[in-house]
Order: sequence, then structure tokens, then C-alpha cells
Amino acid sequence: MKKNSILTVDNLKVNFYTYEGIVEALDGVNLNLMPGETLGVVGETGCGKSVTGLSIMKLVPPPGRIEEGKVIFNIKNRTLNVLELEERILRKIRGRLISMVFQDPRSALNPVYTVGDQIMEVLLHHRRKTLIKRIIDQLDKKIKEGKAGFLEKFYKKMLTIMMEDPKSDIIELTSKIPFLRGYKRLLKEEAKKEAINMLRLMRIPDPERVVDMYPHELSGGMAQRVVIAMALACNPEILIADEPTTNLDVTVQLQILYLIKRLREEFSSSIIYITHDMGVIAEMCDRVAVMYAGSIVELADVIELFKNPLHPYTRGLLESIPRPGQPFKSIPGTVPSLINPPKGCRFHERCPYAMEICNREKPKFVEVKKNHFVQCFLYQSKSSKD
Amino acid sequence: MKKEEKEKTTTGFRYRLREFKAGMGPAIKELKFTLRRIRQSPLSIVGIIIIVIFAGIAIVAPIIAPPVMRDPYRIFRDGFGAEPRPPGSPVLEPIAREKGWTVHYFGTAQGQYDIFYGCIWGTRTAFRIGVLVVAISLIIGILLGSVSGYYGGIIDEILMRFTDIVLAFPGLILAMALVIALPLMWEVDVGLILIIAAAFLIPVVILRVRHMGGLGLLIGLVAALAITAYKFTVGLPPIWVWSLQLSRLDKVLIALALVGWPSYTRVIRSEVLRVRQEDYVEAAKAIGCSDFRIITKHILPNAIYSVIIMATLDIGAIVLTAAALSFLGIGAPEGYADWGQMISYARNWIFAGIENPWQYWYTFTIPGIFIFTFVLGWNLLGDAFRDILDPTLRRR
Amino acid sequence: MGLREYIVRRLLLFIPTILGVTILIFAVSQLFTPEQRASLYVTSEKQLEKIDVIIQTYHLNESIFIQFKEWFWQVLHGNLGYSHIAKQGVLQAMLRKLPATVELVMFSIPLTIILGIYLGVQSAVHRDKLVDHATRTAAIIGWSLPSFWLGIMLIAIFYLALGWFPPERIGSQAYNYISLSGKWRTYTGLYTIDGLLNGQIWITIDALRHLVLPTISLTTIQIALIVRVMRSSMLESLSKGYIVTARAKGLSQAEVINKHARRNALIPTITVSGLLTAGMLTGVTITETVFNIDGIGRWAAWSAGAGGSVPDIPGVLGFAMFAGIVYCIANLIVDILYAYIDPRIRLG
Repeated sequence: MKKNSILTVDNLKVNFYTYEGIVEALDGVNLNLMPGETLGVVGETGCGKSVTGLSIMKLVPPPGRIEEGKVIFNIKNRTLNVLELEERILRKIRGRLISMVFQDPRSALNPVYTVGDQIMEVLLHHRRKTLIKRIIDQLDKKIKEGKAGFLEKFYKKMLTIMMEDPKSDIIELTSKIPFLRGYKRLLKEEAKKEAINMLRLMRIPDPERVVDMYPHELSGGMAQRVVIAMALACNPEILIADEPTTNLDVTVQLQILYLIKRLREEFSSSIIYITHDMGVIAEMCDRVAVMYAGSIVELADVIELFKNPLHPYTRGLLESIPRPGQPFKSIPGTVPSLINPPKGCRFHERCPYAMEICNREKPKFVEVKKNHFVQCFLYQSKSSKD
Repeated sequence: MKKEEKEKTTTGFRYRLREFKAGMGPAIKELKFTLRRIRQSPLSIVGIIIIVIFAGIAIVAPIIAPPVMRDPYRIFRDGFGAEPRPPGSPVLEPIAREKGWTVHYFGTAQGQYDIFYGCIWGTRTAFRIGVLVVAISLIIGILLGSVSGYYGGIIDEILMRFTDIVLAFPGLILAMALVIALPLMWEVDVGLILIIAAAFLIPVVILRVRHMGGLGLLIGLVAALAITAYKFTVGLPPIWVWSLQLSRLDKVLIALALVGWPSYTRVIRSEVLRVRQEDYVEAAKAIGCSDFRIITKHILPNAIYSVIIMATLDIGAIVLTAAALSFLGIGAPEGYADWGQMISYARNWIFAGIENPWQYWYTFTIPGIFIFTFVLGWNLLGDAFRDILDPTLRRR
Repeated sequence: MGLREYIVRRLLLFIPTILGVTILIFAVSQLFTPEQRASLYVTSEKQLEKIDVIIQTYHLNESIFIQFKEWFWQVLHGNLGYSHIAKQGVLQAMLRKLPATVELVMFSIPLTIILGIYLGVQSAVHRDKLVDHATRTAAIIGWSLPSFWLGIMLIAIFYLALGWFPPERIGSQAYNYISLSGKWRTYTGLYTIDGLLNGQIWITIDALRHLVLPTISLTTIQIALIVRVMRSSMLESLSKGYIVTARAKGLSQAEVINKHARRNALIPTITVSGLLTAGMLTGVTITETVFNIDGIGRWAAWSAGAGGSVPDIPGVLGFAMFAGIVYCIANLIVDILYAYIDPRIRLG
């Protein structure tokens, strides 16, 4: 794929081993994400969009298993295959370099911790050094002005040690003694300030009050803003948004969309935006990937896709958008079961242009026009048989 | 008719059979899934095996331990000596020898009661106590709990306060007190029959005829109370009097059932409350199902899982409690084939300050193993059921 | 609402509940004849000789309301009747025997809860693996043991055969020191604590030695309750959305389990722990009998007729009142802890 893409998903295959059989959820997904762009992934429920998002962070839960494929992350001139990294390094990436926003904000937040605690958690986990540095600078200033007492100098010493080695014995020791462990409190306060700042950036009114509230006290829209705040707290390179507005009221949906748009500029992350709503795609995305039954069937710039849909499924989708004054048009048939999926192209049973080869073989994901990829035999010569 | 025509019939027996099979499809699939999970869980298999073995012992009891006394539940005594004799000692009493007893397989307990006989027939006693008490508690619990949960309102309040009251008493002590307080004879007369009829028949009739279930219950309750009051104050003519003789074991049974039913009521009630809010209950009401049908066909099948688990575990708990009562001296009468009874004899022979406390190990170890294994079987099964039947945890 | 207001509200509810228990006990007492009830109003054996006088004085033949007034007045003055089993007033008997029961369970309860929580978490996290099967099997085996049988076996092995841990509360040497030497001051009635307070550490150690077997017996049997509830609520907690969120934040498996899953899973466990505590305080009858400890449970069993003794009605009623109050307090503490851990309760 492209050389300067920040994320490339190459032939990702994921299976779920259930009692009823093996669900072939992802059957060779191909994607790429360029720095600073918003890539939409659109498809109907059950096509595998969420599984794709989770796979990128290697968070697929059992009974799912990533069978094949690569997820190549291009960061600071280093190339990493996420799926092959060990857990220790993955944990540094999750939440820090790649973050995720989930569909249902209520269930994504832990009901027994305050909103502030949960944002602080990700800050303290990943940006501890930045925060400590800030405090040390403040303490330094005080020392220079001569306003510092013994306690502050001690805290500075502790924090400096903590920055290098958070698990050293001195830290373990002093954190148990009531007066001396005040430096930890300083750290928490600094984190809390940062959390309030994040909430403010999310355009949440009165963030000092909200930061101490519990998730069930917030409305759906507010809760989703909190989840977004958690995801952006460490300024990640990539943000995966898995249907962030689906569970919200329509009016609130609009607010969140605007928020994400504004945040795009403030945070300069690249975004993978997963949704089933074509309208949102048109509004938010630079490029679009259309997904059906476990693979990406078309990938193009958003305007190009809407003007020139190549894959029959994309065409069907666009035609099925209701227009006033016109009769409804839908794609006949239903999504096939992924337990014993049809051989060949998974769309062929519903495709008006199906050919004989579509039944036997699966088409490859090929660049048919500039920056426009399709997975369909209509646009490629029949394979190896020729 | 040709085959295609047969398959297309829309009336008649063939059609109904086909529809029935189709309707049962998902249920059968779930059943197969449950059985598969049972087979996969080693704990539940061990539990089932244990219970089956004990059931087998109970069934063949008359064959492997032929009764000597007139009442087969009385353990036969080989003499009247106090000191227990070890396993392998010969049987001396002539009547016992006649019935085929040659040797005491497990030895004798204090008073020369044969331990083997006691343990084998004790299995029957254990099943009797466990299953009967749990069955009674379950029935009362389902009746009261589903009514309380479904109708709510005053009935719920009254029933729940009453349940809480009984629950607040410490179980063992209450059971003991009841065993002592219950009379040895119980007179069933026309008054009692009228009370039961009033409490049950009136609501059922009203339930089926009209949708006034709650009201019907209230009427039934009031009628029952009125008759009870009348009976105790003015008195009813004593026609149709039965006298029931209650043995001490029966009293234990009744006492345990009276102590046990509140827990079932609470659990069923909370499950009914949960299921009552589901959409399919609303739908059933909307198409005009009678309350009775809704409760029996929709609510109970979904509410019953927790109680099945509870009942399975409770059988073990009841047997343990009955054994404890016997151990304290308030359970089965002396010489009765009951495991707890036999252990109560053994106490003196462990602590009598002897050099070798293990000399009479067989008097308490063997009955104890019987109790432990029996209860273990039911507990394993109940625990496995819990894992398997819980709808939220099934598919993970 | 805030935690403080919730606590205040809950405490206010406590008083009518206790009142309800009292009325209940009274209602049950009405099931007995006036002659039997007479012993509820006296405090010594001598007074029982004049039963007719008692019936007269306390209006035991008259209407319920007058009786309740009389009885309630007695109770408020601390007169719960006379227990012929204990040969003293019911309240005095209970207060004297309470420390023995408390000491018996005071190590079992925290041990059961803490160990049970730990095992339950491990079981859930390693579901269907060896740890899970082993823990559940061990817990079920413990639950299946008859308490009297386990107690007897433990005594037979560890005392009669090995001589390590004796039954009863303390040895004869310590007992003589406490009752005869005149140097002993009873602070709490608990030999373990009083030993320290009196500066006689050897007595504390002796008492601890005597507590080992009963504690093992109680813990082995009861731990299944905690393991079971902790395991199932952990499994449920681990399947929730916020666990995925926590992983997506980059937290390690240990942090996810300990910080996120466990705290939610503790909520139902608190209820069970409360019932466990109340249950142990009121239900150690068998253990007290087997280990020959002069506590409330054994006295209650004798009052109810165990071992062929004549039933002692004030005793049974007094114990019922004790049990009722213990459960009320346990419920109160459970509710408060609930509100502390789950913010939805206090704010909802």
C-alpha cells in the first residue's frame, strides 16, 4: 500500500469459535489511513466494522482469534506490526498512540468511579512524566522565589526520583508515610487539573463540577464527551471512533459530530470513523471504506465514492437512501450467515451483476482508478485461469 | 396423496404435528446445548454419578440389608452391650441370623446397632427428608412467590412481611423449637378442609372466569381467615375427623419445611418481578391471555432457573440440618436408620479420654462419609447447574 | 444525596425495625400459656414459686395491649425473663456468654471474607482452568461437610492424636489464673484481647491455640458462600463494556481486574458477607456444642430442648431477639457499605 500511510491493515482475518460453528467474521480486510485524514468505514450491522476496530488495537475478545494478517503502524519513522508486538509494548500504545471511542458511553464508563478519576487514570498511566515535570517546574519556581519550605524541597526530590524510576524503594517507602507522601497528592491534583482542562476542551459546561460526577449522573451526550476526552487525553496519533453517535438522540448526534470536527483541528489525530450512516460519512470523512460481510469492498475519496460508486453493493447502498417523492429502493436478500459463508464473493447472491466466477472465487482488492480500490470481478480480469 | 401434496396440507393432524415439531425446535436445541454443557463439566458428572449410586443403594436396600425388625427403618440390635464392636464382628442374634446376617460389615455402634444397616437404610431416610422438604418448600414458594410478585400491591406487602418475619428467626433454633412444639397427633376435620378450600379454590375459580386475579386472592384469603376465626371461637361440628399420627421424624420434616419455604418465596418473587417487566409478558397480556396462563406459560418457565439451582443445593443443606438436629438429640428417634442419629451415639466413644481415640473410628467416620458424599453429590450438581442454566453466562 | 445524608436516613429507619422485631417476639410469646410465660417477668428461681402472683401482677390473663405494655416496660428495664438453663436472668446470661461466641467467630469472619474474595477473583479470571476447578471443588467439599463431623474429626486428629490444638476456650492453667489468682481484670470478656490488656501474653497465645480448630472448621464450611458469589459477580463484571475501555486505555491485566472489575463485583459480595457475619454470630450452635464453648449458640440450643433438656421459653425468645437485632445491625452496615461503594445507590 501507500508508503506514507500511518496505518495499514493488510489481509486481516478474524474467526470466532462458537458453539454453533466458526464465524468467519473478517475475511481479509484491507485498509490504509493517511496522517491527518478521517477515514470512514461504513457498512450494515454485523459486517465486521467493530471487530476491525478492535483488531487494530489487538483487543478482540475470546472466542475470537486473529488468524492472519498484519496491522502496520508507521510512527516516528518506525514500522511496527501491532499484531506481533508483545503485550508490554502494546499497553504503551493503547490509549497513548491509538485510542478508541465506543458506541455506548454508559457502558463504556465504570459506574463506581467518577468521570474525573477515569480521565485521570489514562493521564497518570501514560503522561506521568509530563505531569511530574510540570510540578517540578512549579516547585522550582517557588524555590527560586524563596517561598519553598522543607516539605516542598522534599517533594521535588521525590518527584525527580519518581520520574526516573517509579518503582524504586524510596518511593515505595515514603508513599506509606502520611506527611511525606504529599507529593503523590500533588501529582493527582495536577492530573485532575488536566482532566478538567480536557473536559473544557470537550465544550462541557462547568467542568470543575462535572469532574467529580459519576457516569450515571450524566446525560448520554455528556457521557460520550467524557469518553472522547479519555480517548484524546494523551493526544493519540490515531483515534478509532466506533459508532460514537449511534446510541444518542439525533440532536445530540449533531453536537458530537461538530465537536469531533473541531477537535480534529485541535488535536491533529488521524481518525477512523466507523458508522452505518452514509450521511455522517458525507459530513465527516475524507475517504471512505465500504464494508460488507467481513471485507472491504470499496475504498475511495468521499466525493469520488458518491459520484462514482463502482461496487454493486455501494451502488445499492447509495440508491437505498430515501429521497422524498421517490419510491423506496432496497437491496434484495439478506446478509449471508458468516458461519458457512458462501464461497467466492460474499455479495454474489444479492448482486444484480453476478457472474459465474463470482460464485467460485473471491475477487482481489485492486486499485481500479487512481486512489479508488474495488473488490469485484466487474473491474478486473478473471484471475489465474487466464 | 403424493408427498408434495402431503407437505402442503394446512389442516389436520399432520399439520399440527409439523407445527409442534417446528415450535419445539429451538427448545430442543437449547436442551441439547444444556446436555452438552453438562457432559463437558466434570463436576456435574461426578455429582450425577454420586446421586445415582445413592439412589441405587436406596432402591436395593431391602436386598442388600434385609430388614430384621417389623419396621424396616428400625436398626436391628445385636444384644444390648454398650461398647461398639469393630467391623467384621460376627452377628450373634438368632433372628438376625435367620434373615441372612452373618457379619457386621461396618461394625456396631453403642447399643449394638448395626452400622451397615443404619447407613444403607439411612440412605432412604436421607432421600425422603431431602426431597420431601424441598418439594414442599418449593411448592409453597412457587405459589406464594409468583402470586406475590405478579400481583404486587397489598397482597405482596402482606406476604412479604410475613415471609420476612419467618426469615428473621435463626433457622436451626426455630426448627428445634418447632419439633418440640408440634403435637404428636394432628386432627384434620371439616373446618381445616373448608379453610384450605377457601384459600385455594375461590381464587382459582375467579382467575379462570374473570381477570380479577388479585381480587379473587383477597377474597379467598379473607374467607380462609374468617373460617379460621370461626373455628377457633365458636367451633365447628367435628364430622370427618382424621387423626394423623406424627412420628418424630415427620415432625422434623414439617419443621424443616416450615423454616425453609420463605427463601424460595423470596427468590421466586424477585425473579417473577424481573420477568414480569419483559416485553413478551406485555405482549401476552395484549392478546388477552388469562393471568393463570401468563404465569404458568410465560413467567414461571423463565423465573424458575434460580429456584432449580437453589432446590438442588438445598437438598444437601436439609440433610445436613436434619443430621445436626439428630446429633443434638432432637431429630430421628433412637434406633432409627438415620445417619445423624448414628453419629450422635459415637460422641461418647471419641472423647471418653481413652488412649486410642481411633479405636471406635467406625462409629462416626462411616456414617459421616455417607452424609458428606450424599450432600457433596447434590452440591456438585447444583453448582454445575448454576453455571449451566444461568442465561447470561451460558454462551461464554 | 451524599453519603452522610444516606447514613442518617438509614439510621432513622433502624429504630422502627428494631421495634418491629420486638413486637414480633411478643406476638410469638402469646402462643404460650400464661403459666409458661410467667418466667418472662422474673429474674430469679425463687420468684417462680408464686406463679399466681406473677400472673396477677403482670396481667397475663388480660388483653393483648395491656400485656404488651407490661412486657415492653420490662424489656426496656433490661428484664428479659429468667432462664432456668443458665440459672440467671436472660439478659445477664446472654451478656455473659456473648464474648465466647464473639471470640469464636472474630477470626473466622475476616478470614472467610478475605480468602473467599481472593479465591473468587482467581476462579473467575482463570475460568474453567485448573485454578477454577480446584477452588470450586474445594469450596463445595467444605460446604458439604457436616459441621459436627468436621469438628469431631479435627479434634480427633489435631488434639487427641497430635496434641497441637485443644478444644474449649483456654487450658486449665490459664483458667485457674483468670478465676483464682485475683490479678485478672476482665475488660472485654475476650481472652485474646484481655490477655494483652492484662499483660499476660501467654494467655492470649493459649486462647489463640484453642481457637485454631474452630476457626478452621467454620472457615472451611462457610468459605464456599463467598467464593461462589464473588466468582459469579466477577464473571459478570468482566463481561461489561468498561473492561474493554480499560484495556483500550492500556492498563495491564492486573490493573483491569483489581481496579475495575473487582470493585463492581464486590457489591453483591457485601450483602452476602453481611449475612455471613450475622449467620455466624447466631448460628455457631453446633460448633459451640462440639468444642464445648459456653457461648450463646449452645445456650440457645439447650433452651430449645437439645439433648433432652426442658424447653426454656424466655431463653428461646431472648435468643430470637438477639438474632433479630444482630440481623438488623448487619443489614444496616451492609446498606451503608453498599452506598459507599456504589454511587448509584446514594444518589439514585
